[in-house]
Amino acid sequence: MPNHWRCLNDSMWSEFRAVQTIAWRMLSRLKSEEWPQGLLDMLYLDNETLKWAQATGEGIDESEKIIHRDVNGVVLETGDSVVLIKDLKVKGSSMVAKQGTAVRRISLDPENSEYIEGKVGPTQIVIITKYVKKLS
Amino acid sequence: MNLEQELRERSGAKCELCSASENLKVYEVPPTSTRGVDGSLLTCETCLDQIENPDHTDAKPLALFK
Repeated sequence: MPNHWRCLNDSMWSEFRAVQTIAWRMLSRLKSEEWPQGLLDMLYLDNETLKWAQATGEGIDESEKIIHRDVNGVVLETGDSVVLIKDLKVKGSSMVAKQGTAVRRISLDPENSEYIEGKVGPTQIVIITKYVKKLS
Repeated sequence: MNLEQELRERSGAKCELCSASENLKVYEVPPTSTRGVDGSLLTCETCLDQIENPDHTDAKPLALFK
């Protein structure tokens, strides 16, 4: 029922970020048609909102999607918890992240499927996916 | 005031996507790192069903005859 979403013509101009985010996602889902692509071209989101809107991978073809996988090939999602499978030297510091350290609420590098980010102690670090295992 | 009440106030008790005024539900926009009112919207069942089930929205045909 793509025509239902012509309502976004109005609601995409909402001042509320949650509404903007869903408008962007639905238009992206429908963009193979002309009118949603046209609205999408007019919809301006600030950087933070755009990141949020893109976080579910809406509007990206499966083949272009960047998928993050742990050492066992298990798919990692934003918000997952992982555990380090070896001691990792943190580049540019004397810090070593110890094997067995749990990293909670990771985020994914949108451009590189080998990088995730998370906090080890108080420090936000980039971790390479092949050194982590997803905690279920 | 709970979340639904706050959203009803913000939206004038209307679906924030299509302006319908019936069957309104709170939808927390995933991933839910932004919580509360800023991370949610008030929407109707029709919109919600399609947001959550891409198959129901797809502009492309779901199957093609040979």
